Amino acid sequence: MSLLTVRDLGVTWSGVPVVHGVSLTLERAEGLALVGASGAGKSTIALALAGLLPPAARVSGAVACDGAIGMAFQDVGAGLNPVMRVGSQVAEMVSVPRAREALRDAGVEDPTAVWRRYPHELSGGQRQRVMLAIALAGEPAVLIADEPTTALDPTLRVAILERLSALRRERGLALLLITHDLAIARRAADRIAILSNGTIVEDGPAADVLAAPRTGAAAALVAAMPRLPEAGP
Amino acid sequence: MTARLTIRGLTKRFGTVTALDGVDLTVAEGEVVAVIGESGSGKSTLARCAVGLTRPDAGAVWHGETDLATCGRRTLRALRRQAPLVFQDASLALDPRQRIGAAVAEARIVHGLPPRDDLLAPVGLPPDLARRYPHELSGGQRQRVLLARALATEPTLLLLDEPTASLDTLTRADVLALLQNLVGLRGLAMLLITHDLPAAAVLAQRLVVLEQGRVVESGPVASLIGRPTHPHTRALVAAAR
Repeated sequence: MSLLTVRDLGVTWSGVPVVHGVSLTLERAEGLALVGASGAGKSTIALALAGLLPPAARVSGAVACDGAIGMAFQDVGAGLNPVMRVGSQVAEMVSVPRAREALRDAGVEDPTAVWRRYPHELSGGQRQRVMLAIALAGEPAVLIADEPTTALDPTLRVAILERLSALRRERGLALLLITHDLAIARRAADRIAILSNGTIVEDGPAADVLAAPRTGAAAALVAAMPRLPEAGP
Repeated sequence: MTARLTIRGLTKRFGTVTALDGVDLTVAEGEVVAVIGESGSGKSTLARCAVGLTRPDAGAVWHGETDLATCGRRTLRALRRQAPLVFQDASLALDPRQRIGAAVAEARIVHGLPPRDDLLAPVGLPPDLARRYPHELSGGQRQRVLLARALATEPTLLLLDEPTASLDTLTRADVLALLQNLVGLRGLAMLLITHDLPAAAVLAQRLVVLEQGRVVESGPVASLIGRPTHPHTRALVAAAR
């Protein structure tokens, strides 16, 4: 049985279906990228899996997970409490030693240095790592990372994605990466599921989806993928 | 080729922080130059100094033969008509209580140009969008509105500060295609400020790499991407591959 199994997930807002018929599985140490344009339903699925949708949303289908689900939110500015020190936020649900370990797991090189700081005193990359540490603190089996690198510089983006890959290798963490960017999906995931209008239209190994997209939605995303031209002579 | 924009020895400090440190840069007529750098490298300060919104501590900015430091207010206003800066955050750059049509038309009014009713067409927006407010538009549409406002004054040089930063992949590709068209059709010179190296590679002929306020490498796109020599450029190219 898979670590995470989602069967026929549906989400309805005010009678309007925004997600329908979404089924997916995730194994231990596997990375699955859920890729789609703005409004495709990516973040709604992430919130539904984490059980964080407000009561107004009607959720149907079945979600089974053999372990805890951690969630790293997209908007770091809104995800961290601006009047609470970083250490207290990471240690809110776990012990202080575990919180320090989570900061190290997230790639914070000197947890002591950031422990007493407020979020506004950190760089964008450090805030993203703190967000990741909060998600990792409860030792989840599955990490849902919703656009974890959107606001970051390219080199920081690569560092965060490499950290996520390391956590998969070292801890067996299963990663559900939510992104609109196939270039990011390619770096961090083994499999790619393309989401369009609230449903998965294509799902397969990352290399196959990128090389030979079968649907219009996937082909459009592949064509729009940011890439450098090949090096000249 | 005639230089449309010349920057020499540009230096700007904010307290103890040196945002720009002796930056040299030239944009020729019809040329697209991209300034690449990460957050805090001084890109946006450079853009603001280039249009006279921020006064440098040292160095000079010429638009053609005109020195920004010594020209009068009237000349500066005319220069801004010919070389508008398109700001990074489209939602902050538009007045939330002003309809799109009025926001774009205003650009011509403040420069004493006769009104036109086709200002949204060059950026591929339908005319009926003019009656909407910024919050009724998507991020990509708002970015196009900013471009329409910049183009409304019939400029010869566009300065773009992170035009693709807040867009999703599909919208980013649309905006890049639009900018490519504008460059091709109008022969506009462009100074593109971005951390999006693939976007810069698509649009620009030359790249200037900025790190902590200093130009660490510059050159034609193909050679700089194919054979980066500075470690920072190599890191940027590796991150974009």
